[in-house]
Amino acid sequence: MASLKKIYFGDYTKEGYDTGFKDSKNNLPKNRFKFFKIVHPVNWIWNFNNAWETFQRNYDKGYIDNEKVAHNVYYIENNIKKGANTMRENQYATQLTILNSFEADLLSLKQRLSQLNDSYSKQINVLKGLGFMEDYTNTLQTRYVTFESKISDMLSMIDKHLQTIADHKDEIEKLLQNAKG
Amino acid sequence: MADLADQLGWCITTKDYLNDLINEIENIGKAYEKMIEELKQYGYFNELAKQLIKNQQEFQKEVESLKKYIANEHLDYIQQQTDSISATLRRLLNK
Repeated sequence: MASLKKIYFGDYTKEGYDTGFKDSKNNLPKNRFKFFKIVHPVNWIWNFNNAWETFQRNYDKGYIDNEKVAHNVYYIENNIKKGANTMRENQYATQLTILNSFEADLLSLKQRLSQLNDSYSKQINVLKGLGFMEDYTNTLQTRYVTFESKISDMLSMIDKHLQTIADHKDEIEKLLQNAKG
Repeated sequence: MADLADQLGWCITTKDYLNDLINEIENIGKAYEKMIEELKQYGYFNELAKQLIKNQQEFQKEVESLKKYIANEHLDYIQQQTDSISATLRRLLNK
């Protein structure tokens, strides 16, 4: 019925629009002459001008509409992608800052522990010269050996933890570069 | 008298060094915990966070153990000496 109406009025609005939209979607160049492939033989002699006019006008409309849709989708997708990447970049950059800050804290602690251990060691060395009882100095000297060993263990543990942080920083740095790329 | 004053000075200085050491490790213990919390807030990967939590717990355990050791084996011992020297000095000064 619809087909009869189309033939009678020579109305190729839908065909024109759909063909134009499809060509644009398939990245084909504009080709209004596709009309001649789909036009009903009756319209060669009946309402030909109207058929041709409605087809080509709506072909252009369909073609442009698809471009708008494609562009808009691309634009939105691109913006979402850009936004997500920026968020990830910021996230990774902040994570790196936090790791760097704590790494500096650990390095500083290592230095302070060594300094305080040296200070205590010097204090132990001057004990006898200050006239303390021998029992007292001997006990502290013995205890200092254990103390030094515990500090050394702690320094080794800090080195191990610093290595973990360095590994994490490498991972996050890679992720940051990927997000930027 | 001069020897006793030097000994008392030694005790006070040494206790300061040891207390400083305890404060330093306690502060880093807190900073460790804070770092992990901050990283979590910024979406740190669970797998990586788990490693840091494990390390932080190990660190905290060592901090507690070292603090206890220094307090019991060194600070208490030096404090006993401090009290003894102070008492002697007071006696001498009151004579």
